[in-house]
Amino acid sequence: MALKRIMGTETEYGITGGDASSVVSAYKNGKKEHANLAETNQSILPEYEDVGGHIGGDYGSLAEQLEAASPNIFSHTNWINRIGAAARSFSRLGFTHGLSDNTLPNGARFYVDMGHPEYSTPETSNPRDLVIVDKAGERIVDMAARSAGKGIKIWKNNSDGQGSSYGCHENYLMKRMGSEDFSTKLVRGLMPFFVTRQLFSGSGKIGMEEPSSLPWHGELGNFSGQPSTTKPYTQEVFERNRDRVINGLETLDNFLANRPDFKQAADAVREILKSCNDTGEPEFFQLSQRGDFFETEIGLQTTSNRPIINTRDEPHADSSKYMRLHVICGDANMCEFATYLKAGTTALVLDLIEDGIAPNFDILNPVNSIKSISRDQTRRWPVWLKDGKTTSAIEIQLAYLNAAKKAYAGRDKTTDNILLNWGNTLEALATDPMQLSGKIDWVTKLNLLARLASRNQVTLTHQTIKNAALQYHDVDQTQGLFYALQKRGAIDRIVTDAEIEHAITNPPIDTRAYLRGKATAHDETSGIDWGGFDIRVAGKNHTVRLDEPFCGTKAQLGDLDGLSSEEFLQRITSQDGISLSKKSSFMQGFGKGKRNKRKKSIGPINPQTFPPINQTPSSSLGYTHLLPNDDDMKGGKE
Amino acid sequence: MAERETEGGQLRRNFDPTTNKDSRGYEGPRKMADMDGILDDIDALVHKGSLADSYKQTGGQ
Repeated sequence: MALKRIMGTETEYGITGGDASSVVSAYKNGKKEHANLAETNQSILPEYEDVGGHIGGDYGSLAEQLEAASPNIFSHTNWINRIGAAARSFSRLGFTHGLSDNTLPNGARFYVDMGHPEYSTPETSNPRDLVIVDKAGERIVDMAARSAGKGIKIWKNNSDGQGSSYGCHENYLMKRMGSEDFSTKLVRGLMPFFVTRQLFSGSGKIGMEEPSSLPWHGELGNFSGQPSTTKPYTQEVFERNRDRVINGLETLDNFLANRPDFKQAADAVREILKSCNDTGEPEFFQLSQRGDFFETEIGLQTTSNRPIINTRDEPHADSSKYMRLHVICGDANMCEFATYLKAGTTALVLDLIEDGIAPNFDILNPVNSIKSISRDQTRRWPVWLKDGKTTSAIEIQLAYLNAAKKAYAGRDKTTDNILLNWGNTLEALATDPMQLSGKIDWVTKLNLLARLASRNQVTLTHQTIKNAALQYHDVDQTQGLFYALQKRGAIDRIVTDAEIEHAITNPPIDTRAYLRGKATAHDETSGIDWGGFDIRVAGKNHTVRLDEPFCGTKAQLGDLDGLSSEEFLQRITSQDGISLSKKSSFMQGFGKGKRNKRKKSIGPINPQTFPPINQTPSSSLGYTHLLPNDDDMKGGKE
Repeated sequence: MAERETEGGQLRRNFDPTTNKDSRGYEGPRKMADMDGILDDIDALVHKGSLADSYKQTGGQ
């Protein structure tokens, strides 16, 4: 079995100088010429060749692209032409409906959520393709912001440093499991991995924030239904709290010292004390943007009392067979490598869990650990277990890596590539994390900020350095500091700009996103959603359901461009994994003229309204469910 | 060829610092020193006002 798992991201972007509605609305009306991209470095490592690459397009293999790419392909003028063409395509997309909630021709969704422009990628089948569509999302949001007006800036981060966080969620399709398996297999298997994967997925942050001690904020949420707020956690507060903890531990240490029966506890306390005394450098830089905002281990909520493992389970597919793992504990990544490794390792860990061979670690307090790992200035990242032993985040990750190696090494190129990079990354983290500058975000950012601080003879908490920390996440490729580094060859690339540009207007070809994306080209379609759409042909409305995410592919349906709506409907009729039904008479015309004004299936208001994990929200609708055959599962690489 | 080993001894690979590649052809991570030559350009892009201090967002999911 090759690594082939439906995955995607949904990113809430920070925004300044305008509002999210104007940006999302500008997408449909985008008529302005958009700024060119500066020439970008294309130092793609050959090891990524043939890893994934199901996005499609007429680019051939990566090696062919690079061989064919003459030096001037990356020239300034060439990019003006290329991006100008993309911008014109963008303005011709012609979304006439769906003011702030669009389904895009690339199969993605672009909408407003909680005051943020949010982009949900189309489904991809592998982590490299996910990098491509994630980066395409950055450019789409940036282009929309440029169309919306001058001065609007878009930031791909997760924390404003003043108490608010907004997410970059990941979604992975899994085999349906019952509540017992969810607790015994999924939660046990995932928790140690999620607590520790920030070692390579964290985007880095100066300072800390913590939930307010006031009862009407923080852990309890507030009474107006708004998200809980988190207050900036200053160095002064940190040091005061740390001293309190150390004083308490020293008292406990003295108490235990005279009681031989408690030797194990005394040893544990001394270990903690040793670590505490090593922490607290004057300038505080932590691994994760999100770590400060997790307050519980498991839960359904996403805006307050955030859980490390989120139980929202809306597969948007055949819920009798599939469940969706909705991951909210990750950071938004700028580095392509970080996104790739984050998604790739998570997919492998899900394989381990589904196969019942994931490592077991009973972390004493996962919520404390996700914070303490992020905040550990010693970069030793100790983790305390329930059995009284101490391990480290790296050792936990190594256990997952070794289990995955033992089970899946040699399975396919994608798996081997992830295993190789996972191992190399852990090795670098264990020896000298700064070697990973250009690959993972927290290291790249710290490298940059430390050098800027040194150059300007200021500390990390200086206003200018905090500005630079924010500007690292600016998605404007002419102004953002991450892209300034990338342009100058300091960032490792694993995908090409040509692939990203193609993915702005074209869907992946080996998932149902292909059919969804192509459906947007027809005026007769409406209500386009993750799991299907309506189409009106010859005066009759038909509902199309896409309950099998690996169906509706280009390999299955062929080229859908240029077909009339009648031909389009005929082509997708009687295909595996695609079910059609005519709407009842009272529904006739319901969707007319409302193309892309889809119902909002992921409500942001009250997560408690979502069904518990064992409910099957769409199974009662009587969809036809068909399994893809082996050929379908081979993907649709051209 | 320099032998590099993690603390746990679980990962080994031969790494040649002169070529920045290991025995499998894996290119080593970029060196910090690579950034020195580009700090002038980066510094010019950094906002000198109160950008970060005034950066305030609504809470999201």
